[in-house]
Amino acid sequence: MADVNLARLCTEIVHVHFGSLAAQVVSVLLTRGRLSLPQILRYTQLKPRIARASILALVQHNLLWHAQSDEGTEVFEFNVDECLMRLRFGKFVHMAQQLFGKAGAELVQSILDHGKLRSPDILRLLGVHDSKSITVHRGVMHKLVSENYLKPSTVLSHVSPADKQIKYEGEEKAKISGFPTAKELKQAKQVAEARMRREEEEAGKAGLKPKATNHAVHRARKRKLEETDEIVDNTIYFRVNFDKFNIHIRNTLIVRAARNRYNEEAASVLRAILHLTESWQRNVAEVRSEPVSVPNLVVKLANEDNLARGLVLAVKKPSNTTCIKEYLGMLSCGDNPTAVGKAASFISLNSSKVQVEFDVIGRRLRRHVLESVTRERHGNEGVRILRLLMDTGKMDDKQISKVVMMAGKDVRALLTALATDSLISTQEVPKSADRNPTRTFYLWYVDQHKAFSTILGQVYKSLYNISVRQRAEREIPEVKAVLEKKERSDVRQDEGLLTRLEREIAQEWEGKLGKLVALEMRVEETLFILKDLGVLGIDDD
Amino acid sequence: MSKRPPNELESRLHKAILSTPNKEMTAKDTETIISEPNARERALNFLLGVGLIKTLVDSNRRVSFRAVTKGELVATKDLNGEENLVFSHIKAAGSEGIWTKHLKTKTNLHQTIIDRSLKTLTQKRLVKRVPSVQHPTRKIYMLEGLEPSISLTGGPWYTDNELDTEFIQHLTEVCYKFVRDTTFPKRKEGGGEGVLYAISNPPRYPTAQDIRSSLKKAKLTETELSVEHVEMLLNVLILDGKIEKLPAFGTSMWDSIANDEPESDSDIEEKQRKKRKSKSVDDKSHSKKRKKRNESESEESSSSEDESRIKRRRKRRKDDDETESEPESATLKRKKKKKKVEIESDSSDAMTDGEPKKKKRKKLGVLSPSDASSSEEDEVPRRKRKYLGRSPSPFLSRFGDETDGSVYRAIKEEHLSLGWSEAPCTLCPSFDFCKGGGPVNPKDCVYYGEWLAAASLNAIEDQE
Repeated sequence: MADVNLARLCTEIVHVHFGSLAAQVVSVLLTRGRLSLPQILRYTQLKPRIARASILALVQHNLLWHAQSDEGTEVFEFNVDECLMRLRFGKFVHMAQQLFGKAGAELVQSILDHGKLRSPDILRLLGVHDSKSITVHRGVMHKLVSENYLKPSTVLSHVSPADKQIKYEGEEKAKISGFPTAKELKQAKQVAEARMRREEEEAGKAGLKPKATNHAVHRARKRKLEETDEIVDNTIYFRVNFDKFNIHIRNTLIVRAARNRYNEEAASVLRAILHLTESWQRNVAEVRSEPVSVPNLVVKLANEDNLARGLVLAVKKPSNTTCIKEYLGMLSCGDNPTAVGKAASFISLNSSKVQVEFDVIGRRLRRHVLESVTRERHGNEGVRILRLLMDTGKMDDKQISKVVMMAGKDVRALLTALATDSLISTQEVPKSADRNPTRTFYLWYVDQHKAFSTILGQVYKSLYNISVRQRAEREIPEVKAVLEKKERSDVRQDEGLLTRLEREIAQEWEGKLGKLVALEMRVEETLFILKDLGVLGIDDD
Repeated sequence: MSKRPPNELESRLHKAILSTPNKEMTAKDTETIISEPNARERALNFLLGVGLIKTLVDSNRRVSFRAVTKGELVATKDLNGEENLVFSHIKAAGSEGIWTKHLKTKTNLHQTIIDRSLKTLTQKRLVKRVPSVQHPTRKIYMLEGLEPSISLTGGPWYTDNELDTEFIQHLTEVCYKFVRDTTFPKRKEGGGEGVLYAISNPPRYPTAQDIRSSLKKAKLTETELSVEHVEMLLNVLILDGKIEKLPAFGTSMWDSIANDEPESDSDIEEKQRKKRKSKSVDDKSHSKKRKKRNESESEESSSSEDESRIKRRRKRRKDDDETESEPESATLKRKKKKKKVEIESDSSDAMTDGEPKKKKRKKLGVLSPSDASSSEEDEVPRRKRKYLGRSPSPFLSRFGDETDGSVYRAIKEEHLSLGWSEAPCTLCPSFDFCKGGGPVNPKDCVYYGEWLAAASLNAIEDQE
């Protein structure tokens, strides 16, 4: 169930993308939970036809899950995660363009525009008719599907995974005879999870089918032709696999962090490792990447001729291999074998294999967000206290003031300020049994769960505010009039029909829009670190 | 009690006791001064009577005497019993001083009596009141002639009983500058924008002791700073995320790790496959693999490519050492030893996950004695041993005794631009009240108005 900030944000996103009627439906679903169609009608007071159309649109865009209520009627549930992904659509199209060229961008965009599509429909929608571009598009489509950027949309993807989990777990539990032990319950849960994963994988494979003609002939050549043996199944609806695109967002963040921490060259080595393992990376929840051998990496980086530029070495003209080894040492914090060094590393180096430690990096990125928020609000002193508490655990305020070398009264003020922002929390330890507040120790510590969920709520709210503001700016009467005029077919052909004043208004609006959209994207990046990378390291405290 | 001055025998005994280092003498020792038992007994009785000596009984029930100087005697002579009691407790507290409340519980006297006694004692300039940094409100008394201890004054960080934050800030900055200058290459050494020292060619990272001596050299302050104090400053820098602390043996360890991986491409591929298999399969295949690996490794180590690399590396290290002006013999020994260790560790299986750590430890154990023998840093570990016990890392504390401590290195913060902080919402004072349709709402938020009117956004540093 979504909290109020998240619910508002989702409603706002749906409002922007689908209009106010769909937003009404979503708002009701988010505030009241699962509802059947008659209930939606009653709460929204919409006409049945309109409500049904909105629901259909939302289902088409994978925003609603179907479920069966206890009475057996069909109910709908809103898919919050899918909705938040809509903020990244622009990024996804941009990435598709970079990875697969213009055709890739077109394909991804049309699928995003329509929720899910079959491959012939895409071509029809894009208006691709001449045979040459059809081959290009088909090729790109095949690539997109085989590399998991697109995934088939199945019945499975319209049912809430939580429901399924409960159902499977129930089935497993029913098998247990007698009074279930904790271990058995845990086992049941794992079995259910594995079953879901298996089903998901099976569903993911459905996108490609073997070519009919090639089936019997040339067994020997088959290996060579393996890729061309399969074609995209025309009958299957495809949707965009956000996990795969999220991987690219994450990798960009990681490379950027390495660049800040070390230098450009170290970042390029890390980028090469990420690139080599990209096809095995499935989602952002992975703890570490597949291992890459150093020689492979050397081959990959053979064309980089200025790796030595970022290093001061004893030898005059170091080979690329030497440089890469140095960078790997740096990135893995090879000279700092302590726990601190481990936590600061990007990769792990095992004899001659390299793995990117997504888990370690993800934790660190999240921590950086927490620290930046603290710095923004409470200055460097606040960060100092926060870091101390995160490293050491619980501490008394006197002890804190001693270690951070600040006057006791300053520290106390700062501690309460940090606590009001939920960045830190207190733990009471009574000295006597009566729990008298004067005879109680108050220890401070960082409750990461609380801190992050508070920040996340604030980020949701900020995103909502930005979006609302953007809509409000658009609806200023003068701007609205100008924009409407701009959309007229005659004005579209000839900009000269606008007056100077109108043109200025339009330009100002575009400037504001650009700023707000850029801001939204950047805030969304914070959301990515907190929410998507939040799956890592959440269970350890 | 006779008030006559002490006779010659008695004053001789008194002086003799006074001249001993702790102003104490056992009953047996007094026999050497006055051998005649009766005279000795009389003299002791007289001195005890006037209060010039006091009897002490130690745990073995042996009686000894402590002499009291005439000055002390005069000072305490005209005190009444209560004042004397209070005075003795204050005296016993030494340079730590004693809080009046503790005085009250110890003496079992009434508050007013204590107050009165303290007043007279202060008037007679026997005791003084000292302020405490930790408990500014407490009344703490100590003997007039004593210097308050560090726990009362707070050490070098306090001036006039207040934490001197400016002083601390200043010193931290100097420390940071010092560490940073050694960490990042200078321009003349071929350093430019973003250039770093290679991990096999590290500069000599400073220890806390180095930083202390450089602070001393810079003559920034009159205050004497100990290594502990410098470490406090450095800890603050670590908390600020500006520097990091790493064990001094770290770089040498990296060298040895980097050295033992001369493997060909195909070999690795094969192993990779094997590893994947071995994850799912049982231990039996594991041991088999190990055997096989050993064989292949022995072949490899004989390959010429490998040898040449080691030679190269050796040469490089030699260069390093010369610049550091370490005694040649010591480094030679070290090299030899390291080489040996490498060979040893090569035979162990490096494939399993827990292995690298174990390997490191093993190497460490053999390595560090030779490390410690390097001339200049020899005395550091002894001084630092007690802090290492405090260090959070179990790794360090276990091997703390063998290492030559920790060194410090500046780091560039990998601080990502936080997109959210650019939004006016981050610092909005009425963020909690903000609500669509409310008196504060995003639609006509003044902060957004200002923000939209203000200068454009910072450029994003990269787009990939």
